[in-house]
Amino acid sequence: MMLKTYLTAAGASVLKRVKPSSSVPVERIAGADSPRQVSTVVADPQDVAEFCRVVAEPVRNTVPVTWLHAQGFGPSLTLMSAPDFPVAVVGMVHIANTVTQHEPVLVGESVTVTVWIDSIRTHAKGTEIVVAARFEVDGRLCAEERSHYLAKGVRVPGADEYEQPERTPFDPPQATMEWRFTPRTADAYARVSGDVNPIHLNGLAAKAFGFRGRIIHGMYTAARALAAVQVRDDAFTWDVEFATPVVLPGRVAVRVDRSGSTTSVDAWNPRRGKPHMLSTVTV
Amino acid sequence: MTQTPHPAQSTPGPVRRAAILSGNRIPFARAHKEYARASNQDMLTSALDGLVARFGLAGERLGEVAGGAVLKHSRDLNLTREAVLGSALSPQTPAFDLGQACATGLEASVTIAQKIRLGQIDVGVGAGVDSASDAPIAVSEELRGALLELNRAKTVPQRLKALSRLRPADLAPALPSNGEARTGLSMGEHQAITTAAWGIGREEQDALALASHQKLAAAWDRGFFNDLVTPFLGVQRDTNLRPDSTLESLAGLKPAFGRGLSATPTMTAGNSTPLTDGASTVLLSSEEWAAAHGMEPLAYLVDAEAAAVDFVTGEEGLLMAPAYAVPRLLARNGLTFADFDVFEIHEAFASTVLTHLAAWESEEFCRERLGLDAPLGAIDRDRLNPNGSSLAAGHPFAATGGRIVASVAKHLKETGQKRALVSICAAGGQGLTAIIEA
Amino acid sequence: MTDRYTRLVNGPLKSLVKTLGLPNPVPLRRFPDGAYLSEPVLVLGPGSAADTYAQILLDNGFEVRRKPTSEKLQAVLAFFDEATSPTDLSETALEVGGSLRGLVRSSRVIVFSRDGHIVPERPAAMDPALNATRNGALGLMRSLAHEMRGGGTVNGIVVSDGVPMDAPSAVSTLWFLLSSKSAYVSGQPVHVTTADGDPVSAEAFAGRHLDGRLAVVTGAARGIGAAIAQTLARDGATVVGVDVPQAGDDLARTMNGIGGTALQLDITAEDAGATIAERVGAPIDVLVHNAGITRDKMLANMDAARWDSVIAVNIASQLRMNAQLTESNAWGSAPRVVSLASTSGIAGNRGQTNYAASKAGVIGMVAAGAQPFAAQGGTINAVAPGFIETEMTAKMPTLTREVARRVASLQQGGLPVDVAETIAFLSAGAAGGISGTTLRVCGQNLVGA
Repeated sequence: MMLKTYLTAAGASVLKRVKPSSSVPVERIAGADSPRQVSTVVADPQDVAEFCRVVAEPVRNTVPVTWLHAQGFGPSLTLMSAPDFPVAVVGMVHIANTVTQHEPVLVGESVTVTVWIDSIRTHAKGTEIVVAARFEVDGRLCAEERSHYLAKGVRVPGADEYEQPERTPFDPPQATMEWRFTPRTADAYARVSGDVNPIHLNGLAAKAFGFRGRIIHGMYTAARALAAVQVRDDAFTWDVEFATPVVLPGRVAVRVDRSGSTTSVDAWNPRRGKPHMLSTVTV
Repeated sequence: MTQTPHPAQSTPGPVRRAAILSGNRIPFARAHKEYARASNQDMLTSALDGLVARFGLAGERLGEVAGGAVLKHSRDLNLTREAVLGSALSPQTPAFDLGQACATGLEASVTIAQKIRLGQIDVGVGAGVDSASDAPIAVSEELRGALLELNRAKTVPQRLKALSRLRPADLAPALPSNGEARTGLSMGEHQAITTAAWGIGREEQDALALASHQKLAAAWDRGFFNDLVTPFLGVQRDTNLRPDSTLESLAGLKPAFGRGLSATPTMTAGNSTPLTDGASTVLLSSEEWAAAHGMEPLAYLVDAEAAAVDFVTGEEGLLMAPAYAVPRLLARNGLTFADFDVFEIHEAFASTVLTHLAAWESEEFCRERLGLDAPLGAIDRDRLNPNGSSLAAGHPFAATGGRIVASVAKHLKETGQKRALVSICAAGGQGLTAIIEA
Repeated sequence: MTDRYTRLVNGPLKSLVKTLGLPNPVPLRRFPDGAYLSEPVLVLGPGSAADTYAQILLDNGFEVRRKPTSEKLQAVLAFFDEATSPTDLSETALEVGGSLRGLVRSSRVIVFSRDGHIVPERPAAMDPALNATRNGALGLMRSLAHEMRGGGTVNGIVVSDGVPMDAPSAVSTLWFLLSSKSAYVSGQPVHVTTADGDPVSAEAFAGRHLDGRLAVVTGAARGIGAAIAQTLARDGATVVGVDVPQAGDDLARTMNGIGGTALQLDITAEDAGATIAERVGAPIDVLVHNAGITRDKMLANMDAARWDSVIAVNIASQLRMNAQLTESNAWGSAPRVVSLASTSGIAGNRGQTNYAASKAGVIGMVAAGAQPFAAQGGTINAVAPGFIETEMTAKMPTLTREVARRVASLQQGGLPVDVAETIAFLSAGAAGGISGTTLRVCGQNLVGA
């Protein structure tokens, strides 16, 4: 089903590249009053367990926020593939993600997922789309998320002026872990998350978008990082910044650093020293 | 992370002494060589049979046999019991498996000793075995998942769906790695980090390795192992032993670990233990049982202390746990290093031993990490691993504890010395230490 | 474990062998099969000893005949102990001859005699005619052994003057020779020199007659040593098996099979005896010096390593061990030492100067050791195996091996257990009257005859 969304989006993208649509004001499609995608999904224990096995989370009664993210991803794709959406979704890059969990969702619970475009703002390299999601159970807000995507080289008239904070230069520290990702890792994550973006699943498609080969889902790397932190608190905030993609198969050097209430997990290319993903969990 | 030692709170009960009567092992062999076709069960059975013969215990029912392996086949759920059944012991001898990674062998002896001390059993065997050659090979996670799904499927479409996930690459088997489950880093890479952090040099590592080979060779030559080892499959000595090693030959080896670190890599195949196959056993009993069977104890297993560290976050080195266990063990028993004649520190890597020694000498480490007012102090190298250790003998993970316990007990008896400290680091950031007294 | 030829001639080739007059070996009766047979025993010869033995046999459940008979017989006992002139041999000898056709398979002829002296150094205050008679009886015994068929054997029980003919060891020797334990012993005199030893019944001799005795066996890992350990354990002894550390796995298996204890030790070590005393930690009742090696080479090509190692293992270590055990006060109250000699040590063998020197050394050691061991109530003897079917002899060239087998009166090789049975016999309390002797277990092989 999501593949269909991708295909539709791809078709729309082609059109948008030819003729970027700009007729609709940004306020109509982003911000507090923008349209919402609301859906309800049951956290099926089996589905959640299968997801957990793939991302190395322990299988237990609580649902990891990374699974919640996957439930919001489809609706966000639908929003960004809408004909009046100003930029092409295919080719967009996931650059950052923030989740705040207030209390965990339990398996078997019915989760109401609300997704909207929070903002469309300028970026030094193009335009940044911020997608917001809320996850509620019985009217209680369990978690909220902001997913940041970058549409490279695209300018959207009316986009909010925004200056991203400068990234601190990355100096590779001593690794405390190592991950090995294979193409099958991407297959498995695609299966359990539903994210079947061809850049993860097909070498030719990946090359068509300028990658050296298939790349792992950014959110998979992020999910592994969160799993490595082993958060035991109910409430926490999780910030992820994506830098460069991991081409498959690939070895990833990782360092987990616990410092007070914040634990950072950084992942980088052990040979080049370039970061793949930097993240923190704060309880 | 401060792990403050604290004295025992419980009042001593009517415990007995647990005597170490002796041990038996098969010579350790480098992986994929002489024992390549022997299973853990084969090796453990042979080691048990040698022990049984040494004490004329054929047909005897012992209290219990504890044992384990680190690399274990799923079919070996009852490995030790199966080995007992295949041995000359009475089939009425119960057995159980346990595991604490490389500390498995020592934990087996400690557990048997505690049962003896409490009067639960009168005699038992602590054992351990590992084959890096006959290692379990698993199917890939993908294939395993699909097969399990297939097994659960009830309808044809469900079955087809289960199989449809498979790709040819999924059929490739998964070999066991010595990578830590939570970090994916090999033990050598973990130790390389610790080695660099403590600034342990290449030369002192090579010197320790050389001493290990020389001491083990000397022990073999003077017949020290005549009543501790029984040959197996034509192997009569530990095959990793290189009596002709020199500092020059060791210095010529290329670094094997830590090549990605900013510090100069120092750990080589020469100052690290190789993958090894082997099995060991230790016979322990109450003093009454020993006397009734006309056996004179070599020594007594007095106390043990385990520790663990948080290595996942990089807060402490993977193999540093013994550095924390030892001060707690000393405090509980009211002892200092000066009270020990022998220190048996398992040589997972030369640098592991050297970092432990450095840690105990470091005022900062002892104050900040151990919560001590003063450093534990230096260990006289002459008292360290007097008959060689794992760098020379090799290290079949779960078999190392039994090798050390039996050897050091005999060493105490032979030299008339009083007390030995045994320390074994283990995967998972663990360490197990014990006191053995004559 | 009979050899292939023996199997063939007792199977498909039986009639052919008879026609061609080829060697016709039969499978020997071996313990525990037919420990004793059921047929009567014929006791021939004049005098009180013959009567005494007839009574002893009756008391032990045997059927006894005192006159030649047409019945089938399991054994003939021929008493020459009272003969004083060579002409005295005639009557009994001819009666024995007349009875041979009545003997069943694996039968026994046992010649009883007083000790004759043929060694010049011995005091010769004996009537030459008497000595001729006594030695003559043994000549008869040896020749008859060559004439026996169907696995039958002929041996002698030779009792020293002043020792009762029915001394405990003479009687226990009778049980040994009558029984299937002596299957491969033929043409041999057993010398009983004292009245020492505990009396034993025929039934007890076939049972656990070594109960409660502690036996140390060197070279016990495999072959003859393993068979000795197994046999001693079967007869009730607690066995400590000794072998070099290199043979530790075989030693463990052998010891576990009999509930014995394994001691990995190089017996050529200076302190081997002291180590054994310490490790055994209990009085040693039986010590079997079985460990031995061969390093064959013509003397012209012999190097020091070959010569010295054979002497070190086969004889020097035994002398040192005996002395150290005595020094350590390690012996039980009536110790029995049995050492492995060899027919090579008696007859010599081409290419085995070193081996024969060591084994002849053993024969000398036990001869001279009898006296010191007697001082502590013990005995020391040797057993000299002939051609025994072992891993070692299996490696001999086929023709040599075939010849070695067939030149024995029993026309076959012996088994390790044959050696072991003889050692068990000499290890018993009942054998206290036998010391300083070398008993051959060779099927009356021509070598060394």
